Amino acid sequence: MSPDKATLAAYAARLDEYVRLMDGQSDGPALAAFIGGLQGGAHVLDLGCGPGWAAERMAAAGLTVEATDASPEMVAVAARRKGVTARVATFDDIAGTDIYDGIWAHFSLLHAPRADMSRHLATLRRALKPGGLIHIGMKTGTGEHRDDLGRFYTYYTVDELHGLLTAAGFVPFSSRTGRDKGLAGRPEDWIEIAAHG
Amino acid sequence: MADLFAYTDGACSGNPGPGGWGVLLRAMDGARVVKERELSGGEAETTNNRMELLAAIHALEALKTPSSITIVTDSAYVKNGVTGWIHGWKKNGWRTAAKKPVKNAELWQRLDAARARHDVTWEWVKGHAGHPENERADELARAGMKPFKPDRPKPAPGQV
Repeated sequence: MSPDKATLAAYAARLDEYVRLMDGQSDGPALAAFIGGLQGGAHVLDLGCGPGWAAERMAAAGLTVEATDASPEMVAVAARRKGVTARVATFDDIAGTDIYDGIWAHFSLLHAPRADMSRHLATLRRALKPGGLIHIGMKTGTGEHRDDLGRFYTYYTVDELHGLLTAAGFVPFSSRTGRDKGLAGRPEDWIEIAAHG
Repeated sequence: MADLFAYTDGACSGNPGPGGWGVLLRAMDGARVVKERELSGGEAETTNNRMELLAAIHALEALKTPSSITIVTDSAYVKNGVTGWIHGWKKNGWRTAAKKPVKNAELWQRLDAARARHDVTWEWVKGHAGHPENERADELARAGMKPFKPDRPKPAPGQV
């Protein structure tokens, strides 16, 4: 399944604003926990890296970061970050077995259709080394719809997401939920889950 | 200028066991709620004290700018630790008076770093004593714990 064109166009159209929004936010406890849970030099996939703010922090902390995003505009920004290797790739371009010590999928998989989610998680489970660390951030709710900017989102309930992760072979060990404003300006509920492979 | 309050609570099913934490953040102008925010989370294998600590940590880490805030907790462990014991631990290299390593030292250190940015007043309330805000924090902590709790035992044959 190819990435949603309207979603990519929405990010491209608001690139500068999005980069400012992401760079302006504080790191958050999830990124600190993710970095803290990995050894120096660990091989990490930043899946849907956006402008690469998290990849830059990971690289600065001594992790070896491979950043991917379906948006060429985002990848161009991410690739300029110190220590970050970035390439254009869709979720379906991820392949391989036992490659990564850690996978950071921070509010990226929410752009995939619900019907594809199990397949993407199975791919990530294969790509993650046994015992590896995965972080997933998603918006919570129900259904699939486009936001005011035309971006496509799939919403999951907390239980549904835990179930999908467990079914894919991950073992969730920590989660955090809250409510914040994103690029579209409306407060939305979100969840971040950390799991082992 | 609104006054900030964070009502925090932890929950644990078994000790250790699956647990959760909850935070009700409120900006108040007198008795009027100006703004409200809720946070929660959980872990698969933890303790009640760790969840109480994480609730306070997340409350402070959620504040973007240095702020003056009152943290209301029903945990004597958190309240006494952060207002008293911690000073001794820092002097003793995170050992107790009995020279044992301090339990949950990494969380106490994280709490200490988080509070250093703010002007924090610590307040203890009795838990489950009818404080609506404390009850809400408790609900949030239980919601955070829920995904990590194993499914309820299936009814025995013949009971369905």
